[in-house]
Amino acid sequence: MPGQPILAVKGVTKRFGPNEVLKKVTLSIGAQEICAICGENGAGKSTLVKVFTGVHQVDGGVVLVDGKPTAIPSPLHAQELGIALVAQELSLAPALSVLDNIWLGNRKVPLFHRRKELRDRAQAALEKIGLGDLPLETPVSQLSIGRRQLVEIARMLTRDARVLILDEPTATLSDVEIERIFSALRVLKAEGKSIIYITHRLGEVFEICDTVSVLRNGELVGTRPTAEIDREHLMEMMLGRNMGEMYPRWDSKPGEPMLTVKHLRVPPIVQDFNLVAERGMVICLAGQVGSGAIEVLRALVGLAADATGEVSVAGQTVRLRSVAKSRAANVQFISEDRAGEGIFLRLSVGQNLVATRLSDHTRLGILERSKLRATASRLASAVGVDLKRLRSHADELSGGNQQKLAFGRSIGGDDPGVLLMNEPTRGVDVGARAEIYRLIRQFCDRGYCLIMASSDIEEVLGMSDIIVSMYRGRQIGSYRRGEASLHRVLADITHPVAAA
Amino acid sequence: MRFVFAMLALVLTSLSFGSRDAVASPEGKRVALLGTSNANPYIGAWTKTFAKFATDAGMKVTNLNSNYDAAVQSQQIDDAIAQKFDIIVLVYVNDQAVVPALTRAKAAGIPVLLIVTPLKKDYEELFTSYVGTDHRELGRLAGEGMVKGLMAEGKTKAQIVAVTGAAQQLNVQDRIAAFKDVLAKHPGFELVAAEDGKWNTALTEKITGELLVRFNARGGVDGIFAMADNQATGSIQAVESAGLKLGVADKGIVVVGSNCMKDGMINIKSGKQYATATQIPTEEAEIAAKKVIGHFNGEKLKKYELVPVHGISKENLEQFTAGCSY
Amino acid sequence: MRTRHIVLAIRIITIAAIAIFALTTPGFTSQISINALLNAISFIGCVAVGMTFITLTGNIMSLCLGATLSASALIFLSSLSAGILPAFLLTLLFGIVVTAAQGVLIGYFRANPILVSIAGLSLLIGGADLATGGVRIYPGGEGLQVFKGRIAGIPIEALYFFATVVAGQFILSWTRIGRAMAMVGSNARAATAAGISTAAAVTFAYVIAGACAAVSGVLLAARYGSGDMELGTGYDYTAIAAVLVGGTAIQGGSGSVVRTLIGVTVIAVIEVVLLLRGFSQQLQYLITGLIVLSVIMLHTIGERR
Repeated sequence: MPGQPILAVKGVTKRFGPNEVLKKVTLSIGAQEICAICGENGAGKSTLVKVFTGVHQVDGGVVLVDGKPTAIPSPLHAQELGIALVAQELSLAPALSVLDNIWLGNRKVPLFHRRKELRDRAQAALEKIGLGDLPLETPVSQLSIGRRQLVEIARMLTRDARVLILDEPTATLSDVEIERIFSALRVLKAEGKSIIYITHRLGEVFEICDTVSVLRNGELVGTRPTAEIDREHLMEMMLGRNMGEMYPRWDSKPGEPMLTVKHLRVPPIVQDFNLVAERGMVICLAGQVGSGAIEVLRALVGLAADATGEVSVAGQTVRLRSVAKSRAANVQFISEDRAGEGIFLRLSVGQNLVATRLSDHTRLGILERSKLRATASRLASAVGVDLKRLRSHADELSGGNQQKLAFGRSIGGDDPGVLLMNEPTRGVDVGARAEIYRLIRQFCDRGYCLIMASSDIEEVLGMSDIIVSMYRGRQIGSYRRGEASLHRVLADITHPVAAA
Repeated sequence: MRFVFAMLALVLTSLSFGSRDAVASPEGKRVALLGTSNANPYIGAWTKTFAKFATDAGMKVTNLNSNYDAAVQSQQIDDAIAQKFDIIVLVYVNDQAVVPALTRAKAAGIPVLLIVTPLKKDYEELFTSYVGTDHRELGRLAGEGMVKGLMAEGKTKAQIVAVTGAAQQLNVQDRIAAFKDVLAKHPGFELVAAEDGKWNTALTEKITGELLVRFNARGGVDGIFAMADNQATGSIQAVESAGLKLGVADKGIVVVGSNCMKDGMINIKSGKQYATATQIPTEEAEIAAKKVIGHFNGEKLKKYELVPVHGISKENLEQFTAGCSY
Repeated sequence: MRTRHIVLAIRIITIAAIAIFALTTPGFTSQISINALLNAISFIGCVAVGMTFITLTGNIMSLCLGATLSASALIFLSSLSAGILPAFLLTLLFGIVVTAAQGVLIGYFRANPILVSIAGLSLLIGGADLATGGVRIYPGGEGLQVFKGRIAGIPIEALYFFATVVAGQFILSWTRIGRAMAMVGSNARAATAAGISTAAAVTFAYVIAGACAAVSGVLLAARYGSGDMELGTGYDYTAIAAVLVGGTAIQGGSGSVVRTLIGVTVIAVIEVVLLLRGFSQQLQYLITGLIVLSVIMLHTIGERR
């Protein structure tokens, strides 16, 4: 780690209301260094990035640039200091050309400029990261996600960025594209740039990074050179927390097979997925973004337009690609995108709870409103939503309570069915999480067949009777409860040996 | 939207290519007839009649409508200039917005025949000729009808309200000004309100109803000038709904219009409406077609080729029934 | 929460202010004035009820309802020779088919609702021009009295309008398809995930809008005994203004027919009061516009909280 740090934080604290999301965090990045920041969802990685890029202001501690305490009051300021973020949600304008995108929003382009000079400099930046063959006029919409990410990096280079921050750059990329990004990063490092690399995938930490810092619950667990640490140790740093309390105790009580999936294909990710799920069991599909776990469940409820395969529920074949047919076969679904696909924010809590049950409460097209109200009350008590709130708008509820609505909507039929859940506790605070876990177990005892897709490894281990680990569309391993070790599953979903 | 209209205009105009050049004869001459909207019965009837006479005389008529969009109309005029039409026949949408395009037409040497409404005096040099009715004359006839009706009831003092066509139009302003001029000669007859009925029947009924209420406490309304005969129908409905007396025979409210329609003919016959005036599209269009033919035959057009108008009341109703049947 | 109470208070004060302003206007409560008001509300109100369904399902507005109204009037008048009931049914069918076709394009093919309605408008105007040659249509038969006159002193138009409001609100709150429309408007993706056919719900909303416009056309044609394509000019904008003033969300999902009734009434009362008080033409337009704008802004602020 040569020379003095380019960018550092010292004792930085950040609060949102009563929540401390960063607690006295201290870390630094030197020149010619690739520093990984690891941690679970909610560990504070994104907040830290936003402190570096001027989006958030610290509540305590200092940010040091070139060793000097520096305020970064705005993203524009960060740009001027040479700190650049390559965002997860890419910020390129798809309709514009590569050239225009590279210079878009650059404050140093004078009003009267020479087009030729801009072309040359863009070309130079692209060559540096291995995209020299890309015509500058190509519209960005024609590029793959990986290439877009490289264009984004080139854009940062033309802004004379010294520190590049990459937030989960490989989450949605193919192997070849990931390799391209890595070689670009190596070139940049050799040029003297500093790189902060945020990732879930431990394999990548060891492949490309010099040091790794681990955050947990807003605290820095530690910073180690990757050469001095092994994978096991790194996992322990990430997960060193008490896993009891949160998860209810139970005994697995396998019932008769409920859901059978054969040769499920969900282009372009999932190739051949097979599963037999029994009543009274919780099956977790463990996998990161891009593993296909979420896509499998979406396909099973009829939300994937080009899924193929054989699916049967309680012996009856179910047609894929139709939500109505799946729902009729008693397959219920809780979406990973609560605001976008789960909750009707402008409808009342009661209306949300009965959203999937309208057909059971209709006679000759007319709603039986008193029966609906009774059902809404029953479901509200079943999932622990205050009955007084039945008439409030759903957008007045907290994330945890909204998720309970999604649960309430999916249960309550007389005949327990299949309940598919994508990331059931995403964006839900700790208290509500425990409640949701208890709910899941209750359904289980009542004979539901539950399948959930999750990227939260702790949740997967804490909740499942069977774990199916997935990586880039393939099933890697399958473990009964107790057979699975944390390390094994984590290895499967981050960097499986078989896939190497 | 504008783009769609502009494209439509291009397609339509390109269809009318292929004319022969004949000297001093209407034969083969190309006429751009630029209207507002054929959904308007008056414009619709005008367009149909003009097209018939012009086509019979061997001319090719291309009809484009702007749907009351002034920008679309400017574009259509520019297209007509670019395509070197032999004459432009125009009902403008907006008297200000049309000026630049007309200036270009003049520069290009293409004659412009205005119909339905002329331009203000300041812009007289921008058009070759106006063929149509004198709107001041229509307003005057309506005013005289009103005065005659009120005097027939033996009134010397009267409160009169007007519900007009679209208030921003020059022809509407001309008619109301002339109507006022007539009343000015008869002290005691006063125009107490003029509201914008936008040529719309239902809107006119609503406004009339409220005007009746407004003046109820202040001596009541004696006469209603509903600018077009369909509006008169609305006003008559309002008076009937209010349970007030209607028509000269009952010494009730006097309703007059200022351009005749079939509604008006029926209402005058039954005595509900007292008078109206001719503004007969078929007649105007025929005259306009003849003037265009004359122009191509080398005749010089006067700046104002005014179509004679006539006041209509119960006495002379029969002779206009055929013309006022649209 | 606090902003919400303030907004609610402002709303009540506004309504109260308008009510006081109206009731203190000489002649406002007279029979003639109320009748004129009822008539104005009825024709525009029917179209606005139909528009409510379009807005509610998240399709913003249609620019084609006014033209549908006009065309319906023409169809009704020219088919009267076949008898009043066949003419009425034919007109209803026409209105429904015209807008349902747009609903299918929007619901099943995800076409942009505004563009589709503009296309519908152009087609109707062009079609009517071809069919009628741009002449006014007069009734081809007898029996128009059925749609005119009064029952128990109330104009038939107003009775019909109130029936439309009741039916519309019933569909919205008491039927499955009504609930489905609100769900689609609130969150179309969530509705799909809940197993609702969003396309069917959108199409049905357009069916209702078409039926409302058609019946409005019949009533206008019957009242004035003639019709042309300008009969419905301006109805689209007034209707959407009424829908928004009532407080139906322009993004869809939240709203009701009763709110639209309030919106129509508020706008009509303001117009009547300004006219009765003798404001000049320019001031009438200006004040109405300002009030409509501020009421809609008030809703937006209330929504944001």
